[in-house]
Amino acid sequence: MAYENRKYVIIDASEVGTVDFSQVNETSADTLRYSLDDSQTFVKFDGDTPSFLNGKTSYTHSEIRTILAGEDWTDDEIPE
Amino acid sequence: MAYAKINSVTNANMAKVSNVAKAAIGKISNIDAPSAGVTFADDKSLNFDGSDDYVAIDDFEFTNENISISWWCKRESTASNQVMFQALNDFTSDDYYKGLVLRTNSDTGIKWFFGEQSGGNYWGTNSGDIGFNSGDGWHHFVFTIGEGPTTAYTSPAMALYMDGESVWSQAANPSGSSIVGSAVAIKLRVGSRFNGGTQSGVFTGNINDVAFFNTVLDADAVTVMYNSGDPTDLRVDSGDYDNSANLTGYWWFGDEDTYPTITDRTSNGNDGTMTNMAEEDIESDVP
Repeated sequence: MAYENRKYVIIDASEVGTVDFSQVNETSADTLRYSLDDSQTFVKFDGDTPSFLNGKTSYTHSEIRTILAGEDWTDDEIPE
Repeated sequence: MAYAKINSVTNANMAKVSNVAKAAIGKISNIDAPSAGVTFADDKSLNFDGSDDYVAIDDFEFTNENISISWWCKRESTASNQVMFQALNDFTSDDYYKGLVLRTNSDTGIKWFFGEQSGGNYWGTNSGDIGFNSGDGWHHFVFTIGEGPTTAYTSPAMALYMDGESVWSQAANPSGSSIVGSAVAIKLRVGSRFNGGTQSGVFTGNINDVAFFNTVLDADAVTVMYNSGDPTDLRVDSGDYDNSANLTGYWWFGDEDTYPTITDRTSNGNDGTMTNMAEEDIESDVP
């Protein structure tokens, strides 16, 4: 799978302006996925870490999936 | 030893064989050939990583009545609530159920929601355990929706086919006339769920060959479309599949597509866009 070697970095919403979208897989600032309280988002990339993300924690696909499944990122459905 | 036996066949025996063959040919000519779809070079699919991927086909609009959806799918996560399709009128503000949602249900089935654009009513139900499991490869699905908003989904309401077989159906909306689905045009996204503009429920796995029809497909057509697990070109009628003229949208999800555009293979021109995805997400992984 393409994502087996992909890296994911969570950033604060206030940092979105620093993202170079030519170096990440996200399409644009308008398509970013945010946490439920809109305080955080994330970007992902294949290969070398973009310089604007240096020093930040990167996660594997498995790790980010666990984080995104948490209550900070995934809302509940209405019952049937 | 086998060669020796073959070589020992006499001319008389050969004559008998010849007569048997002639008789058999005569019988075969009276048997209808099984209906089969027209296959094509289907070499690619799209992989969704379960984080923020989706294909936006926002120009493709439809209503929740007299439609069928066909797609091939492979799960790579046991998680519930992984959305394959969502359609809303407004992805920036609508509640997630105000339109159409088709998603995984636990580790074995499919669940769907239909909702009103106003009034907040919705209808959610699921297929139960149909063996749609993570890690067991590709499956073909067809979901059909019958008479819609003005008749509260009756005769028939819905049916779900998996790998050419009917696995669930419902003759009428059990909620009665209070739940009537979307009477206004809704737009399609593949691989994610949006609720008031917030994204979640992202699909993990591969999706291939998505098609929408403006009619309720019958079981015989679905059998041809499944074609024993080999995707067919739905633009071509073949045998009991005579619905190519009913195609309203058809996307191959990788084949002959140029990243990030997912080309609509009908004449309607409603191309999709791979969003938050990389060119590498077009994979050589097909049924």
